[in-house]
Amino acid sequence: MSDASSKLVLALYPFTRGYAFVLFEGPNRPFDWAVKEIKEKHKNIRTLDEIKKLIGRYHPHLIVIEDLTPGRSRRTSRIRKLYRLLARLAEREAVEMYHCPKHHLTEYFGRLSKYELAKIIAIQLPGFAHRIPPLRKAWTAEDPRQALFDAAALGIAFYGLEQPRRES
Amino acid sequence: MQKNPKRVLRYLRTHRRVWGLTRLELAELFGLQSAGHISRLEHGKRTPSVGVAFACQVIFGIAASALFPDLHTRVEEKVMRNVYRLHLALSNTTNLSGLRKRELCAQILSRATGKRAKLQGA
Repeated sequence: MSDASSKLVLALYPFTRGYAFVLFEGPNRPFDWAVKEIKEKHKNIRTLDEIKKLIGRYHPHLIVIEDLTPGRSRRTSRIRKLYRLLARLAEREAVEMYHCPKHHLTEYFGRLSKYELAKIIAIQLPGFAHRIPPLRKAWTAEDPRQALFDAAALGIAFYGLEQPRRES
Repeated sequence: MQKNPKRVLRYLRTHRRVWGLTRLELAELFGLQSAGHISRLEHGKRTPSVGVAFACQVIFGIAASALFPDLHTRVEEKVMRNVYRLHLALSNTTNLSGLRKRELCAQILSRATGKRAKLQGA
């Protein structure tokens, strides 16, 4: 456990029905996490409001989101717009932002399905083990809990690959 | 420019969620009536009573100072200030009782400086 001066890293993963976040205070040390479902017409506005509150409450040192370089990502236009708004918000709040490319995730975890990724993360972070979603069937929608593991994967990949590069 | 962080870090929520407990379940374990009490403790809006601090230690096996570091720091700072004041007040004492108290103050201060040096070294 660390004191209040520790640097917190906020990993965010928006999805169709809302967003998930994991706040890390160190590698494999999540401090807070949640999956928030937003059932409103203007989801981006509400999501941004909630993220702003999170930033206000915890003052994270850095925000990690996925890299949306064209051709490398298959996210919807709403989520792309949300990421752009989020970048502006981070700039306003003076929080550094890191865009985690997808190949960092494959480099760190290997080429895995989302379910396998969730299982690996549950081993690394035992506090998440009881939240593993059931194996997705081809005819079902993705479980919202999966977004929590996607957010955690971004944070873990940041600590595993990017932070050592920054420190060296 | 980096803003000055004025956040309250408490680990009660973290440990509650690690073990999949709801606020109501934890309140029941503490012997409290409402989940709102737990919420206020988690967000630093309420100071835990000695009973709650001990209950946390029993449930999670973690010292209350580690679960509520903000509160521990606050209490420590206040006590250290008072100890220093007492230490100064006893600087010219010659009686046995006064010397004994000075010894205690010196021990407290050396423990605190040792702890700080250890933290800085880490």
